[in-house]
Amino acid sequence: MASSQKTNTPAAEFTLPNAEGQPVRLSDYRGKNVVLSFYPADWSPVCTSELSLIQETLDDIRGYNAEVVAVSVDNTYSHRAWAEKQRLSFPLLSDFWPHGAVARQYGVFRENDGISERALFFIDASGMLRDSWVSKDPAIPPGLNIIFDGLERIEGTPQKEASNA
Amino acid sequence: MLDEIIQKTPITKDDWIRGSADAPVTMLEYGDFECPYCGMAFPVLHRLVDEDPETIRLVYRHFPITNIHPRALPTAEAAEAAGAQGKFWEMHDLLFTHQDRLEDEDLLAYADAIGLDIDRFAREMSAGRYRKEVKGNFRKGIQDGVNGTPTIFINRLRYDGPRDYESMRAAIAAILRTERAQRRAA
Repeated sequence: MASSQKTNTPAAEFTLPNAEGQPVRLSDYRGKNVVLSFYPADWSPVCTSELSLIQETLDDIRGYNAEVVAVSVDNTYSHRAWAEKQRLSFPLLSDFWPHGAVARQYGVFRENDGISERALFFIDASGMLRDSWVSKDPAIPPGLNIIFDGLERIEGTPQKEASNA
Repeated sequence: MLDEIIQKTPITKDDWIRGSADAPVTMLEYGDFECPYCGMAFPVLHRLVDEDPETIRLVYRHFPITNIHPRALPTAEAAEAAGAQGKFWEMHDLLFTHQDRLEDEDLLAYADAIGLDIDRFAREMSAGRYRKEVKGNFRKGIQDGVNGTPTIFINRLRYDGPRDYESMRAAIAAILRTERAQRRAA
């Protein structure tokens, strides 16, 4: 499944509030690779969710000069409680209003149920969209290999493996 | 993009295997002893193997989600420490059936209950003797494309379906049918 964003073109710029209500711009991350992760909803009934797996491997992801930015249509209050519950240290951005506007920009908004697809966009340090992945079924999260294969294609194998795993 | 959901790492002699070594069906589980969903999958996976160990084998690898499960790493190490004394599955079963009691003193009690050399167990646990093995499993899980816990592969294909007995039994039967048909065609 493809998104409407073309690879090897500049990734669509956006500004969204994080869980603390502070604005975060995609361009704030220039100089870093970005894993932009759209997910359907906070509080989905899976204990070790996609975001927990990302948190668990965050040191390894950062080994690729990369940061994770997650986006869903939940509001900032929900994000704050969810991040606390799941002990997430990367930003959760709120695409709540205009509802799903950034998901629409990236072509992953589901008009029929008002949430986004489960999707990953790989954006390099210059802000170019290099790769994307969209789940065929939003209930099924991506395997971690998708994230690391995507980062490897942008950055190559990191010099030093993170000690975490 | 079938490649996305194929187990990349081979099963080796270092893996923990329950059932016959040459069973035609291999279920590989990446699990976390503190994860409730793994606890729910436990009786199903074991029933599948124990009913037909000549056909189905289970391989268990650790995938501790330490950020939300503070006992995930010590319990994985405890299973390895028991494994070093030939009692991996005994410890594995006790952990999955006592997920509400996974503190250090509980682990010592389980080690005692299954007849381990307690001094060796305690010594190896406090030295983190098996952390490397657990981390090695975790790294394989990343390569294979773990997408939550438990993640289960059946004959190298990631199984994202429901984890009740009937669904899994049907999935395994379908895989066996397909493989038989492929062999006949070859």
